[in-house]
Amino acid sequence: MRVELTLIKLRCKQLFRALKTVNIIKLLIFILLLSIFALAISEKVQKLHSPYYLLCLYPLVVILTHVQRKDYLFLKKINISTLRLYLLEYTLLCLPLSVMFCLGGYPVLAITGHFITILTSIVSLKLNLTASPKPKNWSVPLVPDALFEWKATIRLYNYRFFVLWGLGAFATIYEYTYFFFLLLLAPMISTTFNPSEGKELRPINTVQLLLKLKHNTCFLMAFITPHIGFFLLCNSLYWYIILGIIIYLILYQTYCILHKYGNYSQYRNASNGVHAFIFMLICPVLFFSIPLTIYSFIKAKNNLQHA
Amino acid sequence: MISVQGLLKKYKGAEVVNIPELHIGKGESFGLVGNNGAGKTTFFRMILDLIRPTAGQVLSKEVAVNRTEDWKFYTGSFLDESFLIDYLTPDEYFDFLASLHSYSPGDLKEFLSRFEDLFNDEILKRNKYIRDLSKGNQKKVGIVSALMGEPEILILDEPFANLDPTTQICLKHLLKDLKENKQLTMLISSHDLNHVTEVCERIVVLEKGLIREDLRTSETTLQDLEAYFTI
Repeated sequence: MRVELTLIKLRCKQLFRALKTVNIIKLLIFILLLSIFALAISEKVQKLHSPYYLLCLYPLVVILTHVQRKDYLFLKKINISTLRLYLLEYTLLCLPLSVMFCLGGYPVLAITGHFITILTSIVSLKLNLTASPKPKNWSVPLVPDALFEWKATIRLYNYRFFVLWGLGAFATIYEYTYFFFLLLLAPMISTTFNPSEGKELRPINTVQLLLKLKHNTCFLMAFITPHIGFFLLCNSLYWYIILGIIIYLILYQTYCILHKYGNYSQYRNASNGVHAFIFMLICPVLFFSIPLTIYSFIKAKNNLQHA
Repeated sequence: MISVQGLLKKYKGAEVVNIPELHIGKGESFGLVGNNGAGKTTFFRMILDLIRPTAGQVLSKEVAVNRTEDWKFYTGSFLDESFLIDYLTPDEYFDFLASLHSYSPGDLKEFLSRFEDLFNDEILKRNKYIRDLSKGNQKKVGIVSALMGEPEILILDEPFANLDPTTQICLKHLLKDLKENKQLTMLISSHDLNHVTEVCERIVVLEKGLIREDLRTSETTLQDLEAYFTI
């Protein structure tokens, strides 16, 4: 137990040092946003008739933290009880939630939540839901280490993801925030497909183009599914907003890719900013957007055949 | 000391490592060479039980590594920087590892003093986090931490990569010294054929997960290896 406690102490030290590297203004904004969110959630909890679905937040915190652990190999190398360490860490991470529930007058939720935390930790460990030894840089930055990545470009990317998730989380309280979420997500997706990718990644025929569309749609869905799941959990009546958003995003992303390869030339990079923006506006009008997407597909197909 | 029986690792159906049988004796210095993607690191990871093989097993002192944790007490290893803790200074990291190995502060001081040449005054008491050190200096921290606890087996993945020439020579001497004076069983992978032939008495060539050559180091080994890797 002594080693596990030392590791927790080191973890706190790491967190403190990571925070120290962040600009103080950004840190204050981050803390302010977090406090507003915490207050808004606790207000919502107090008004709820049956808040038991909020228990899902506990396993969500545990799983999202667990899959992003960077010390998996280190912990496996040294001989310590990983389960005991996980239990300690995740219980500490879930403590703010419990405090919030206790303040909101739901101590039962806090106690049950901690039991769920213990259960999720055991399941994570025993069912081989192991943490990734090398987490990807685009992972959702719920863990400060990802948010405060030392590389400026990755950090910026993570900030945008963080704001995105923040907006999504606020949407559980104020539903209209979801539209801001959407407005931020759409340009982010369009910038993902700028022409800076390596030559080997460019499709050279229609089959590869379709495969690219498939892969990107899978990535998009993998990214937004947990977010949408969380939104639906809190706002199940708004399922039609979600459906519309999924169609919108897939159509918008498809158009961005097709437009890019429809205008791609080996001598110049196609600028898709203006087209993407116009399409973003007209996308909900399916009467225009679907034929335009089909036209872009034909153009991209011909362009690739003659490339 | 280490035995491999029918070891197979597949990723999405593709075989990454396939070693039917291999035995590494006590005190042997074993070099593993191969091109990128040959399966060297995956093999080491399976020896260290960091990943589970698709089939087969690795035995350390006749005991399967996935059955017990006892082998961790006599095995030192450094594969990559994920073995380090990024926001700690090297001094704090060594302190933590020393506590795991029940070193007293005096023992730790004595232990670290052995590596003064290797550290070249760039690691200790610099008040720099491990993440801010250069790749080469991070490697030095990792290698020294692997030697903590007087291990009987030492596993290093590409220890010469990213090191400056002086440190490479220093490390080479250190490994030779460990082999001769402490009878350490060493498993070293490297892309540097010169270094690996100098340090290791046995060299295995891995290609696409399969053992292609198993050589006892002699005067002609370097030429043999160069000939093998020449397209």
